[in-house]
Amino acid sequence: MIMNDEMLGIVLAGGKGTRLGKLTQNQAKPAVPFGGRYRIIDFTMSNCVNSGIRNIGVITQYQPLVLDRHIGNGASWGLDRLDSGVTILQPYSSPDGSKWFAGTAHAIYQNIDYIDSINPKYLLVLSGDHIYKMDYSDMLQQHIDNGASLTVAVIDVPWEDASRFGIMNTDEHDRITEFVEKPAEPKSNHASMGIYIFNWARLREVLVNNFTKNDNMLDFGKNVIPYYLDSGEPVYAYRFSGYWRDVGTIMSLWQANMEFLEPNNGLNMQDRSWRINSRSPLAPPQMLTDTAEVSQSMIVDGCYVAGKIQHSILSANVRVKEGSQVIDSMIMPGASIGRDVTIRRAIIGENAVIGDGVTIDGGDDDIAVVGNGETLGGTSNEE
Amino acid sequence: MKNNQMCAIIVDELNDDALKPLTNERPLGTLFFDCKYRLIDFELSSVVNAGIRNVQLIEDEDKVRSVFDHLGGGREWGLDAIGSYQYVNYFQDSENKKAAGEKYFNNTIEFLEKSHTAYTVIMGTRMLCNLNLRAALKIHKQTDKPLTVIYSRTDADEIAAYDNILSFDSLGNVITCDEFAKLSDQTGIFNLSMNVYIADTRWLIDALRKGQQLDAPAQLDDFLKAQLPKPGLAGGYEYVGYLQNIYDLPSYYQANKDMLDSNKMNELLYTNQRIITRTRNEVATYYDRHAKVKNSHLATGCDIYGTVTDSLISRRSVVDPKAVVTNSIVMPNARIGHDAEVHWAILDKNVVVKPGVKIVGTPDNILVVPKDTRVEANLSSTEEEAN
Repeated sequence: MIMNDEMLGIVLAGGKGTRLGKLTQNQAKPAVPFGGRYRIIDFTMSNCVNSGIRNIGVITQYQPLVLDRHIGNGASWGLDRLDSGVTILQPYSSPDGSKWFAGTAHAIYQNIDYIDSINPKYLLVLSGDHIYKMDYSDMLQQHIDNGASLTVAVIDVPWEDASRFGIMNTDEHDRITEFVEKPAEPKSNHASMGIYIFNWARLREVLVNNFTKNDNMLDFGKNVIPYYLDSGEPVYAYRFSGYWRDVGTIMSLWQANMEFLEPNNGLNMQDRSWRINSRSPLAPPQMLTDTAEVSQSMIVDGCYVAGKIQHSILSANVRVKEGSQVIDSMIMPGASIGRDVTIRRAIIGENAVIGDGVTIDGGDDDIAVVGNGETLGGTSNEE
Repeated sequence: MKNNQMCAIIVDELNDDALKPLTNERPLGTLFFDCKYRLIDFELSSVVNAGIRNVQLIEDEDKVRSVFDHLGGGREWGLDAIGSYQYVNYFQDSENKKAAGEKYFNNTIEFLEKSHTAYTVIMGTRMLCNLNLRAALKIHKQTDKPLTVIYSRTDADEIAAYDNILSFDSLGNVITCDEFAKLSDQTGIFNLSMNVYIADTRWLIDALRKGQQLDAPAQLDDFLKAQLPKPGLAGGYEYVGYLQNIYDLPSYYQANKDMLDSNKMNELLYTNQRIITRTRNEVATYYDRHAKVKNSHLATGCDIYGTVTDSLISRRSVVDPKAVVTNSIVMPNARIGHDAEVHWAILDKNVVVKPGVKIVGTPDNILVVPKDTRVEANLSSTEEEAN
């Protein structure tokens, strides 16, 4: 555990998540629901708190309403204490003009005042869109032991997938020698997880010096890491080997949810020493009626189930009426599913309404998506 | 609109012997209800839904740990905001002061004066309901009486011997308030006092000041009950929503089972008055491929591998493979072992039922397994009677 504000956490949560299509029309990717009880950012937020980080800045830009409300004052993660806090960092205007965030590193540069106000020795930069459990204090310890200026968390991916990632080539001491974004012929399979620990004083200097001259230091992956490597900064890899999923596409989001249903999926959600916290909805217990049939599934508060649920996840306040079946699917909060509906291999967005008799089937190779708030088919007025 | 027109005093129940062993260590107010609530959540929710920010609790000092554990700082109910406070007082305090000849209502009077509200709500924890206190206040303001008692037309079957029954004159004044046990005719429908009162705060302070000089009853609910029949003093407000009077094990069991009836559940839990409880971070409840669950309520954090029907399962409980739970209430963190059976029973918190063990109650004799028990041998209510 880190005993003081040695390290400040910054979560980059402003991304649009274009590849999630309809699911990110009205909210940023980190706010997308996951696993029945969570939004994606909960994993990063909880990892920070469990690692002893007491102050977190969450950088938002694209469609921030749902995310802002979810994070609130941080009380859901115990961040509303005297010596801790969460600060939402949105773009703002100033005498120098509007401060939009043109890239990941640019977002840090625009928020230098916030970071200076906490005055950390180390800056932990995280993306809010991965599903994993990780102890950042262990990564920090290695960063200190290595005398690094920058440490990048990496995970070994299957060689055949390596060309889809940013790959870090390292020497025998895990010092990074080369960084190649999506290499056609990868020399290593150490993929960057988008988790960085910087010595803040040095990063601040690099950002300020460069942005005073021009705008060529916008992005960590494209600009800052290559600059660090070129200028001989000690940059090290931190090897992570646990469960980690990038849920940036419909297929990967669906897959990660289906894996979440497996009792031994590597996340070990029952481990109470590393809990993933979330904002809890105010809802009655789940109700299963006489006609309900539920197997290999997860269900949470506020759900009403009269149909058949097989190998699926129902999030808060979902209703599934009699005669309907939900198979291999993820239903997001507040969705309402009428009678005699069939849903297979699908993701149903928040507060979607599926009318009686509708069939939604992604087929064997694809995943069907119903957008947030979308209405399909006619709905009956009986209630 | 001025928001804080009312303050509230919630008087927990002292008379809970008929609910033992469930109330051995906790007051009635923190008894679990419908998988994730405690009974006091309903009073607190009514109170905060009416915009009330000042709340005093009167508790049994021997059982207060469970109350503090549930309420914490009151954040979930919005009672931690600046200008809000909970204030806990003890039944024993006023009794002891009275015995010592001291002014025994001074704590309550101080709370009332500090609240600066024109009206005061006083409510017990025994009547499970979802009460709209703003509506009740409107009626109270329309009368010219300083006290309004809320009542419900209730069948004799659902009334405890020590409940209070009201009668009114043609103008709506309370004229009698008698213990049910003392009535000569105990059949039919009665005006059951719900132990909920709305009082003009000025009148209440004066009455308490005078009362403590005249040796009036030391408990606030007894004190108010004694005021009711005074000529022209009190009117009534009839509550017509879902009500379950919880005064013994069968009535407690029935209240929980009622929630499996969607009409009753909707009336209590899905009105425009939200029921607030302590939030808990738990994973979703997992249903295994062999799970069979029908007509039941479950909280989050459970793992269900066996069969559950007509039951209510609280958070973090595990029903192992081939285990069967029917017609039962399972409180948090229970473990029902492989091949075990639980029928017509209430399992208190942290109960472990060892594999293969059978707990068999009957509809007329619900078996209660106390907190933290490890059940290693079969239990049945018929054997219990035979012994």
